[in-house]
Amino acid sequence: MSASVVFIGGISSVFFGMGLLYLSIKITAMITARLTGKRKENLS
Amino acid sequence: MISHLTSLVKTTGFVYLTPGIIVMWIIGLTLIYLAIKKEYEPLLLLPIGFGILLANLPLSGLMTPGEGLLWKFYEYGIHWEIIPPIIFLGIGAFTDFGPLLANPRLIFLGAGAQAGVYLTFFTAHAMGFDIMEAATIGIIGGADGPTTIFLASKLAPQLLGACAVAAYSYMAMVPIIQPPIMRLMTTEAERKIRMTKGRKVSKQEKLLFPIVSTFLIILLVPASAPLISMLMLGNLFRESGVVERLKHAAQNELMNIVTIFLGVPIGATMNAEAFLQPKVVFIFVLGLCAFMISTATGILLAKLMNLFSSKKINPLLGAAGVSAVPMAARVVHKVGTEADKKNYLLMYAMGPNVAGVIGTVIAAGIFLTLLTS
Amino acid sequence: MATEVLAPLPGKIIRINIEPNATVVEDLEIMVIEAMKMETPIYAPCDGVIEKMLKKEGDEVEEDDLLALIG
Repeated sequence: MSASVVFIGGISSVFFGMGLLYLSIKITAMITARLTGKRKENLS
Repeated sequence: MISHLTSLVKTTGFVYLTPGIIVMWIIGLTLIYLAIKKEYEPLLLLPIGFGILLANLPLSGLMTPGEGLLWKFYEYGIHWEIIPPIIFLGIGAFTDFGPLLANPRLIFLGAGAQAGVYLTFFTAHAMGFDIMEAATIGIIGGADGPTTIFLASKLAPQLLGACAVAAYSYMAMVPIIQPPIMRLMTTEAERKIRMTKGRKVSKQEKLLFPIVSTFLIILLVPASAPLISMLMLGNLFRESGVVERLKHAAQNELMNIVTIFLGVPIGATMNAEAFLQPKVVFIFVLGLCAFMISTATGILLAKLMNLFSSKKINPLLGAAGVSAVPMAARVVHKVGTEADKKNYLLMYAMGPNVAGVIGTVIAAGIFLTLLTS
Repeated sequence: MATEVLAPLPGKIIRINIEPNATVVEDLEIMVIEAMKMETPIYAPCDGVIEKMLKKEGDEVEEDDLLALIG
């Protein structure tokens, strides 16, 4: 494996990984909104 | 009679002393001095320093493969990858992902600060280090102790001691290394930018996050499983609120125990033959460069994001993308208050700071996947 | 109209420098919050008199908690 491949692949994968984290936060927020939304409906 | 005496003398370590060994004693004692007198990362430098002394006492056999006590600590703790994941369990139990959940876009600053890792990797490789060693040196730029140790034990165990000491000493020196770079790269007006408040994050959301992210990250990047799973388990302990005892154990007792079993054998890998090489000087220099570049690229990314976003980010936050938690966040806050004393950046800086830890783990995982396959 | 002093970050109040009814000027240090093992001073947002001090030393505060009223 050449160093430049690791270099380019590495940097892009880190951003990919962080994108993943971003996605999990967004999904978490979505699920939470869904859950709390449901609960409010039940109450009313 | 004389021959009896000489054979007796030969059973002692004295006759095996070399100048190299004495130099290592001095290094070990210096670390112990820095730990006690200056309180530079004493929790690690003290055991590491003592480990160095132990490894350089001839005939002690503490590091003899298969027999020595410290060798066993090293083999079963570090080489078997037990200790670094346990440290991550503790970090997870410590970490409040709240700031990250409130301002998710700051995550990318944690990625920007990993550029130093790869730039240094490239430079080290160009300077003649083999590719495994270059990766290990690069990861110092992430400023994350356990991850550096984890990667070094896998790719270049011969550099473990030097890289670990470099990583931990630079982490201790964050308040000295980072501020000049931060002031140089930002204008007074940029440092004065106040962050807009993030949204409120509910308890439920904090609870769901470790579960959701474990699924997503491990399904997509299975190689990151050992560290990510423990990190998120620790965080689940914290956010669940029902296992205070486990949270405490992970944060305190367990963390303290593994710190002991981590520090001493790391020091013990630094025997005179392995450590006293010109290479080691380069490791320290390159490691420092990695760290400085990471600080700079984090800031640059924040400025780049400002070009495209109407809600401006204070570029100082980029410097918190290196993972030295929470030192880097504190430094950001301090430099920020120098420009505007009512600018409270601390909690915003914790976002990229925590993201930086995860970013360094990902960077290490990528090195492992690409270089060992 | 009283001005609210809100906690800019979560933490623990370790020191309060001002008594109720004291006169303050803008940027005067009112109290110190400790967060992430770092002391963060809280400054008065405006000139005035402390009408009410809602927290005491040792209290844990969340972000945006009301700390004091300046009138």
